Amino acid sequence: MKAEPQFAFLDEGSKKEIRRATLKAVAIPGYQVPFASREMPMARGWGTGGLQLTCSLVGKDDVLKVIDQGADESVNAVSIKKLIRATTGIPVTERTEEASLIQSRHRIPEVPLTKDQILVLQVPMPEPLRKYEKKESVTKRLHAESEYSGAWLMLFEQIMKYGRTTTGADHPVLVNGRYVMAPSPIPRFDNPKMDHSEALILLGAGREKKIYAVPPYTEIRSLAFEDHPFEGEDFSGKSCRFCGATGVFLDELYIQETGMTEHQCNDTSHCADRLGRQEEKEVQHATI
Amino acid sequence: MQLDSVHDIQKVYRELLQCMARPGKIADIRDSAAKADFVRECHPATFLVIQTLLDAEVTFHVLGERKDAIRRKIEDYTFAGHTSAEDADYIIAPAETGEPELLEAIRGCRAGTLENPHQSATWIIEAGALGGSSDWKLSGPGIRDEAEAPIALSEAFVRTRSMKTQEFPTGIDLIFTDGDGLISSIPRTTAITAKEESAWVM
Ligand SMILES: [Zn+2]
Repeated sequence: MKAEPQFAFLDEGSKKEIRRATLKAVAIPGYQVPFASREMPMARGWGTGGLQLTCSLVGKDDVLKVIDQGADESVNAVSIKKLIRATTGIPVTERTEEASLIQSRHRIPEVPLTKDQILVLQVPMPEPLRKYEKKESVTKRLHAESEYSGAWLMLFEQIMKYGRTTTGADHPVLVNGRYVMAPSPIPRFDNPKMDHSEALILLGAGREKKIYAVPPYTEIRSLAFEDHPFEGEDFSGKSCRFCGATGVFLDELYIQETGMTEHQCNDTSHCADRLGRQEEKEVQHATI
Repeated sequence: MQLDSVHDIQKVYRELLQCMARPGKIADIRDSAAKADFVRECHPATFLVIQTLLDAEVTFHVLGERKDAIRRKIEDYTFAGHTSAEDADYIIAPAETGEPELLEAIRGCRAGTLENPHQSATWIIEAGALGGSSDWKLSGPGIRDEAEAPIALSEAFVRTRSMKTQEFPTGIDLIFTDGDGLISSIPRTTAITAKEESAWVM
């Protein structure tokens, strides 16, 4: 056999181990499969789990998109793209529709994903029960026994104290009615996108050495109480100051000159895409 | 064309991953399988799946009459260690494996534990031909509504496999290969039910 060493940075042995763990993760939705996380040329906690998944997945025919908190041009996203490009030669894109592989931190893109795409989410803390239980041996047992009263109690206490759950991001979900899972620090707004997703979703935690997955068409329910139903961040009555989008995740910003609060799309490529299409329309109108 | 240990294996893995994520889906790895035509001991597709998953860090077991030849081939190419069906990470059931032997091995193999459900056997089962019609339908994660079972399955096989997967998250995951370079998968989460049964319920 012909060997072409270090395509996609990792050696083939490392990829094989990650691939085995990934297949198990897909077969046991929401369960955190341990794996031997490798040293990557960036600090752990900066997406090395997601990056290792991407390296184990990527082939010559892929088109890659990397987003960091909604932006394709952040330092972290750019350095991941550089590494993959340098070691594979594959093209990168900012347009969600064009990508076959999407690695993301803190967001699921606004454009609905398809069955031909795989979403890789970077995870800093894969254990949703860690907030109240420090020991891994204990959380493993709690998952084994479906003993999730601690997770419910945590949310209940937030409601008692603040009148609502205070999980800004990473609001825990129940996968296929079995495992409580950390969806990674995506805003609550993005949680419903995981439910019966068309695309396979893989989650990787480099520092914690865990891989887990949400297969397509799998039930994902955000933990909530009947009298305090789950709610995403509310942007009703607000729209993007650039492209006018509504029904998307908006960043709030204070404009000093006007003293006003305005909003803009958090998913910058989606925003740019919409602006581009609006300009096209205007040009077409002008030429008619 | 020579089999490329990086790019062909990557392609096989991606197809395998989509099969595991979408039970019942039949994927085509024919182009890569054609490059593995030097393999006589088992289907080229079986050999490719083995090449994708096995190395010195895992163990395997082979069933059937030709087990010794296949075992040598796997050891030569992957350096994986051979062990009993009860202990193996991967169990290979070549085409001519008799059903009693297959069912006994399914009953005895590792299903993982509630704490470590991933420490279970993954099966690579050679089928006559994938596709075609079957009496079974699939439902569960990865399947929108329902899917067709990828191969004809005997009632005894379905029953034995259901016993093995009844206590989720423990269970076994099945990969099917055929002589035409097609692969498919039925992970532990998939419910296999008779088509007639559902017609009756309705
Ligand atoms: Zn916008």
